Amino acid sequence: MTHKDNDLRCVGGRRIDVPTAHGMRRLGQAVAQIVTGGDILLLSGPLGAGKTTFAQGFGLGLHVNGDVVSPTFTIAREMDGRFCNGDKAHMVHVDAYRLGGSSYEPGQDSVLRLLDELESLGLDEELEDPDEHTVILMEWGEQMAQALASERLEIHIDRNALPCPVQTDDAQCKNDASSVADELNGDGLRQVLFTPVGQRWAGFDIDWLEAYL
Amino acid sequence: MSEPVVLGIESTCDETAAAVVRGKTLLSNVVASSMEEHARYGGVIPEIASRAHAEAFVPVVSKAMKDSGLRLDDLDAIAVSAGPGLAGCLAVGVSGAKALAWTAKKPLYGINHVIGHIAVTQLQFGAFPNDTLALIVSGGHTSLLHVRDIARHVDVVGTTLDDAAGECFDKVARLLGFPYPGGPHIDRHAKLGNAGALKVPMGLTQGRSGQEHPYDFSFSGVKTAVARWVENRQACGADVPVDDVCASLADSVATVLAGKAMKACKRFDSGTLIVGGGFSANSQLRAKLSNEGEKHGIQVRIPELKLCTDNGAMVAVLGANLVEAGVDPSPEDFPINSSMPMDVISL
Repeated sequence: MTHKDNDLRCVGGRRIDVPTAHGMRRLGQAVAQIVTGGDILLLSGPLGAGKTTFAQGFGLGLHVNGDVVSPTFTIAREMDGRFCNGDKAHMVHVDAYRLGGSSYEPGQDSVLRLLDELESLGLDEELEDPDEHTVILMEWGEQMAQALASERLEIHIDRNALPCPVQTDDAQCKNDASSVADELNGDGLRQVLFTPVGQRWAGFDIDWLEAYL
Repeated sequence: MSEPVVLGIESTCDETAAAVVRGKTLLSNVVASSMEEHARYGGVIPEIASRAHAEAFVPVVSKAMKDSGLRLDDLDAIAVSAGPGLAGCLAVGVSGAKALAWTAKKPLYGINHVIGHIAVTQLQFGAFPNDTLALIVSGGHTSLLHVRDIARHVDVVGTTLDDAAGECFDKVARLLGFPYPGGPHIDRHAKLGNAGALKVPMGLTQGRSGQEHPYDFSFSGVKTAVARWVENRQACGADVPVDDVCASLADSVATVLAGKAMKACKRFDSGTLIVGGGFSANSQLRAKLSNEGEKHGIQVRIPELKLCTDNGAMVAVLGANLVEAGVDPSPEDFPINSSMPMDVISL
């Protein structure tokens, strides 16, 4: 991957296909191998994309104490582990789901509001200047972290909808018995888009991640 | 010693609450909620909740004392929720309680909010039999706990590996366009729908994952499956049968919760299941639990609604249990702990 030193914005992005939850966990684990203190990762994607699954793999990769569960209720959860070089790691797992309520419209006002929220959580300072042991994994946080962190690895997970029946009036689209014969499930292909932003991520090597899987 | 008189203070999320108990008798119970202030944001905003606690703390505590007909001097101890919860909210309650305890020269207990949900049921049902099991379900918690001694020894039997049950409901509710809080809307629509319309997955109940996690929960896959189904219908241009979606979701979640709770009761040879937390207001869960309890010969203790949701009585009763058991008060410098482990009863 090539980059220009003066280009501190996006230095490239690439997609990895992840077919299973196990694969998503593996990917989180792989990313944990390339992070170091002070790094900020932004994790986005629709409801049920697999963000928490990724975060669980990431926590596993950092050997954190305790389970990585959804931080939605407490907004932020903090855990201790170690980086792959053996240094101690402090993982801050943030879920901004409830901060960015659906009533927000994208725009400056909502960003300011969200920054107020982060301030009240004490996270604005951590985002602006994370200490040497802290790695921040932030879910749903595109808007606010973009406003704060100039150096970040953006990870966007996409979940495909089920294939649509050819005809919209097809029986499969009706809510009759035939459409419910199979149990619904949350499985299916995910596409993960990595967008490294800033000098820190200039040497970001997606091939290494893919090889790790 | 006569029954201890304890003031309990609660501020973990969006309710500022205080109550006074004498042993297992409730003398006063005051709750102020900032829920309406959060509604337009689709969820609790920590900053708003913290400010609301700062405003409500003194009025709520004063009213709880006044309603009890007692003076601060009459208290044997004060108890406050020190976690788990929202950090800013906990800080208001704990700071206020510390100041009050210091001025009134009373011992202070920093207690676990979740254990409080278990303790409060004593007000309605009396003392716990040996080996009581507890199911605590809310927007932030989904845990099965084994109560050996409410003041000294509670073990975690199972917990959610990802989302809490209430969180799953809130997220699906948002998807369906219901205002916050979404739980009551799902409950209401579920009563009108067909619970067999969609086959909603039941996390960690089948196969190897079910064997490895017999008492743990997973609601993330439920949320994803329902979200995909709804999106697919919308993409097809078909209408979304909201009542059926709600009924199927509620039935699946209630079945998993009740099934695992009964299994845990069997495992620990327990004849009593305590239920607490805001999600225990869900009528599908209540019905399922009482049916299953009857079937398995297990007494299910679901307290009246005002004791299920966050309140000061839960804190006060646990405080009284601690005083009665002779447990030391918390050290003066005890911290708040937003992710307090479930097996810590007091600090």
